[in-house]
Amino acid sequence: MVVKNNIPSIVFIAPAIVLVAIFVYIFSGWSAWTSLTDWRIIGRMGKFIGIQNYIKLFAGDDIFRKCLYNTAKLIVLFIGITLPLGIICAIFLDLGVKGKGLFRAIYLIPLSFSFVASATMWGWMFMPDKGSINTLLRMLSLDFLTQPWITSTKQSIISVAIVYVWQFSGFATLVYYAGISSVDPDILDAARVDGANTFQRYVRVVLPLQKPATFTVLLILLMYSLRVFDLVWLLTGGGPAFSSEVLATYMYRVTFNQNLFAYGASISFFMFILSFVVIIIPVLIGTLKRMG
Amino acid sequence: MAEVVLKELTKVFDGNVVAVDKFNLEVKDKEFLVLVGPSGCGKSTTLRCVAGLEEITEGEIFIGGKLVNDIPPKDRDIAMVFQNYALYPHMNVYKNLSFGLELRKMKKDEINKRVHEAAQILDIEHLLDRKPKALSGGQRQRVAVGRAIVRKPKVFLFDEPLSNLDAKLRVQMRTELAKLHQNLQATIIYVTHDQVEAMTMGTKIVVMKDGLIQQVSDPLTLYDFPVNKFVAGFIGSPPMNFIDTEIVKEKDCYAIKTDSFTIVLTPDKNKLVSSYAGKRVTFGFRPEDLIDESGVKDKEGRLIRARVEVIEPLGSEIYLHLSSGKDFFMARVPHHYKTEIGKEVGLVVDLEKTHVFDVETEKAIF
Repeated sequence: MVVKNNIPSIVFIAPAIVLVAIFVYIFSGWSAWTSLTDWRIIGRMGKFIGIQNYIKLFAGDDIFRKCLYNTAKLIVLFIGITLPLGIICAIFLDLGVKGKGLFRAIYLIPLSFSFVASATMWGWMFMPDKGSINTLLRMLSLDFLTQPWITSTKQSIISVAIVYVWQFSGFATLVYYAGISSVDPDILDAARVDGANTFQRYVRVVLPLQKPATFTVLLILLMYSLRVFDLVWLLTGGGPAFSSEVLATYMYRVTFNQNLFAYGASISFFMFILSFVVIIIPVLIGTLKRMG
Repeated sequence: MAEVVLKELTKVFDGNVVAVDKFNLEVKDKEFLVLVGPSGCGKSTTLRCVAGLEEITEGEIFIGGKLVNDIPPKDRDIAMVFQNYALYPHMNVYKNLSFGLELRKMKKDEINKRVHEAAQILDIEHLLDRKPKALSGGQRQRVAVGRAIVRKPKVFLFDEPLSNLDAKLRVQMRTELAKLHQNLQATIIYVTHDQVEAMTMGTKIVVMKDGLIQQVSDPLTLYDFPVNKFVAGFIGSPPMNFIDTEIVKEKDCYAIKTDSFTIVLTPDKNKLVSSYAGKRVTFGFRPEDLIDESGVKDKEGRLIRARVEVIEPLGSEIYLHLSSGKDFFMARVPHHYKTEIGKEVGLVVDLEKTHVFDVETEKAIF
């Protein structure tokens, strides 16, 4: 009876469920299975070898460890700068400074850029000799500030982080501005009557109320930075000397350049588990809390 | 001394919306003054101007004899209770109460003492560790009041603080706030749109409309001697009955004459209404000033025969919705009054409590 009454709903929702089931869960499962084999050549399935690939990954692969470190460094730099920058810009907008419309437009434009466009543009800007950043510094007689940027093993991951910050700080600003704007004006008036100056109002009242906004920004930035691929691949290609290689680029290199499908699948499945632990679990906990 | 004086206070929004217009008012020390009026009359704006939350367009505000026009809210020695409580959601009750004191760099011992004193007065000591979301509406209201009293300010400002409470709790809090005023002996300016709150709590009431003061007086004077039709209609529940009619000369007196009844005014009103003879006026009388004709001996010239349209029994009394000719009005009769819909009843007007208003200016003639 219940099924009969819900037939139209089931018909409408079925295509989405089928697509998600095939392209997310079945492929993830297949990837997990593949990671337990020695599959190397297209057309011939590998044989089951247990967790050998994972043992090799964690015990004997220095590049993988380097990728883990680079990914962590990128996440720390990216989120560590984007979050506070978003907050500062949102407060700046909230203070009603003149020209905030223009500021908002300028800030949101990078968000609309594709990673390919951003990588190409920043690739030119980061070029050590003819790049616009170093050229500008030289024009200003600030030669001592010129940097090797993406050509340096020490600076390549920092350069990638700079592009990421540039691309996403507008998003963080937008979310925080929405959060700050939604604070009840009476609460801010109460703080004014209580004796809080502008700084104290933001630090003691407005910012502690931005937990939901911070959760949203953090989650989305984490999602993007854990799966970071295109920007790194196009900007640095993971180099020089693996100095900017991250998990996704390494997985791609291993799978499609070296044809180590099973080994690539183990990196891929590890990334899935990492995302699950870092992103899905906090979301689930948050949802359960809200549901009481 | 914490008297508040407003001189020619004017607040204009966006260059053309006049919220408060040349407002003059004196609130004496320890007075419980209520600003009452319909939505949009400028009462909350006036309060926010006193608090320093709105910049005034013109005029002067004095608190405790000191001109405070350019002084920020925190230095005006006022505390404010907001309609939606405006508690800090991320702080527990203790922090909510102590926040203002911390910002004033008061010593921890003193803060602790004051918070517990306020909590004791408001009976919220057991709630000090809770966050606002874990409190009921009434408890939040107490915390909001506590946040005000903990500061021991010169003047308390209340902006419709009971509007979000249910009817029963509102009555309870009304009494508690009145008691609090007696205990604290502080100057209070209280804004409400509820005339019952205004009448029951205020020692002085200011009735406002369209940014202008209509009348300032004590509750009973306001009720018995409204200066215009607006005040007469706004104060009192159910409101005063108004009938547009004509004044005619009858022998030695003047009378209110409608198609279906004639009310002869007492001779002492002759002087006041003589210039209105033959003109249209608004006749006003309160529902409780209509008395059942049975038992009234001298009812000539003050009897209204009316048809019962609706009966509203409230338990302690009955509201009758009546019609007489083209006119409709209400009567408030005792709970034992027997009648039924469609029946004709005779009611006698208490002539001492009638009012007549000028049709054009709406000012009270008496």
